[in-house]
Amino acid sequence: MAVCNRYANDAMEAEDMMQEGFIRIYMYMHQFKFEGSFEGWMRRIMVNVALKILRKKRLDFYEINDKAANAPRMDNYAFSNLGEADLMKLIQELPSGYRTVFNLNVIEGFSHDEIGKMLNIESSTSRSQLVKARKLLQAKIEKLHKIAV
Amino acid sequence: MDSKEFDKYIKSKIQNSESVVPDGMFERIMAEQNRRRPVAFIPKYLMVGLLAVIAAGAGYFTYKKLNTNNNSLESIAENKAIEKIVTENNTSSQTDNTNQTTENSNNSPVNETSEHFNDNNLKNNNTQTEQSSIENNTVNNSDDKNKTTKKNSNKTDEYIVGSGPENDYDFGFDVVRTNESTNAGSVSDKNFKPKYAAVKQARNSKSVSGEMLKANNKLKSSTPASLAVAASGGSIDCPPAGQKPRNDFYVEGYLSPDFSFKKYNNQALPQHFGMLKDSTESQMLGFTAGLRVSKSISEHWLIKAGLQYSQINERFKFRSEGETRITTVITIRQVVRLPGDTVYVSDTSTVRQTGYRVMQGTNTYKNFDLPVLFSYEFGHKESGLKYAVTAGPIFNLTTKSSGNIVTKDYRAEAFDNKHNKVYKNNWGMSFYTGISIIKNVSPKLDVFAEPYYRFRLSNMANYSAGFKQKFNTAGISFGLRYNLNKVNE
Repeated sequence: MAVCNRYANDAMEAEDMMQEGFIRIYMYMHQFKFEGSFEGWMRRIMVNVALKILRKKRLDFYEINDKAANAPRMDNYAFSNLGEADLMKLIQELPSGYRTVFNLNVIEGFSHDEIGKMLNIESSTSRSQLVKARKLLQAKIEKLHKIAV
Repeated sequence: MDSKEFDKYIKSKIQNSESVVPDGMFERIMAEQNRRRPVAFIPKYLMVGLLAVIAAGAGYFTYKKLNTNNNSLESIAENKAIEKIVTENNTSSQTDNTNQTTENSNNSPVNETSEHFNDNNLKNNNTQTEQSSIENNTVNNSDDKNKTTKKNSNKTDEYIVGSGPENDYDFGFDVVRTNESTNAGSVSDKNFKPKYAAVKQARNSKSVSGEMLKANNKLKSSTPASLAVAASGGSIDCPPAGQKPRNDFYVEGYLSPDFSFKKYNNQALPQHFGMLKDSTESQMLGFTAGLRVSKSISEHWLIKAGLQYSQINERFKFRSEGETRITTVITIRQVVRLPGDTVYVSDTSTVRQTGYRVMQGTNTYKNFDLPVLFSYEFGHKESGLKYAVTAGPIFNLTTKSSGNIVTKDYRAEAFDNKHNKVYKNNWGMSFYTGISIIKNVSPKLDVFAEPYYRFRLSNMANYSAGFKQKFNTAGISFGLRYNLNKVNE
């Protein structure tokens, strides 16, 4: 569910992703070869389903608030009090294109070339989206930290 | 903190995070999985069944055709044997000069054709006629080559009209015979016997197809265009000799119980809405009734058109949770303070009950359609049984829908064609395919049963509904058809 939550725009969409993902898991269970971890296999299916659903809705790789890309570097203290749920919420607030590239690269560990193929975009686009996603996320954390202080 | 550290930090925090799975999620997944399975399998089985029936029909028809072909081949061989004997007798009575003339005239392609049609004529008549016809032909050939050619050419036209459909299969073999008979007519008995034996052997070993092919090719180059079609494998759809072409004009009435399968596709609504909708709606038996006229356009083909009414029924059952019912309770008490001093005290209170409410009803979808179908009929005339494969488009003229539907915020809402327009007024085109068994009960009256499948091509829901839906229908029609233009045989 956490995987779906990371990719979805809202809880409803996450539920749809999870439902579709599990149906596929049941459907293709016989194709699992017990060569890797079952959890990893399931995670991969969930990610593929999430991408498919997002692709249907057309991911927007648009530029928002270019100033955010030049946001100041954050101090380590800003992260210390950040909980898991807060972080998830901040990631969910990212625009869908930023969020997808960020998840695929940072969490799942795909390279920019692989992401380019998966999302049908240039690898350079993936790189720039990641940089902007990272900066935007840092800015959001910074903002949250200031409010907390 | 640089980018890498930041990424590492986020990954460590997020990668193994867990979220709470909503209640009933796995029940919904299982329900969705079960819902998808029958939808995927029913059309497959139907398609396989339909294909099997069509294949069986085609196989039967081919088998019947082959049988007819074999019978005609055997009869030709018998006729040929008789004919040869007669030709030999005639040839022996002619002079050498006559033989030469015959041989020359037989080289003419027109003459070959004419002989071929003479043979058709012979086959249709009795043996006696055959003998005399061939005798005349041979004599004519010996008398005057040009004259004979002209005369035979005229005969060709005559016999085209008279030849029946059973002769379609005879072309190939006839020409083999023609070639032999030309040789046999001019050469001695020695040449004829081995060739006839070879043909007989070919017939016995059922390997006449090669010979037929060669002969057909030869025919193509030497016959008129209409016959070339027949020689190349196409058939000339002629009525049997002595009969008028089929000109049937039927009026058909039919009634069919049917069952519709819903196909739902979510567009803009949350995916669980589909399950919600599916859980509130269940299909019921519907029916179709109609009148159509059918006109024969050839010996086997008919075109059908008419009007039909079909009704799809659906049960709607909705359980609405969290319903409250407020009941007002008035209690009247009588207080007797002293004799003659009675006071009535009235207390009004309300009882609030929270529970669920079940709504039940039937959704109906009434279709008025225009079918335009093509039918191919075949079968035994003797047994009075016929079979037909029918297919074609059905155009929806108008549809009236009414009933209740669940909304995405979990409420039941009424719909019809005027107010809450969930479904379209016109459902577009659908494709119909069916297989009929027709039994002749009187010279002009037939009864038939027709299992069918109707595949709707268009979405029936309005764009604003946020989903796509269509019904595919399977049923079996029972009907009567009356021939208004029966040609007596």
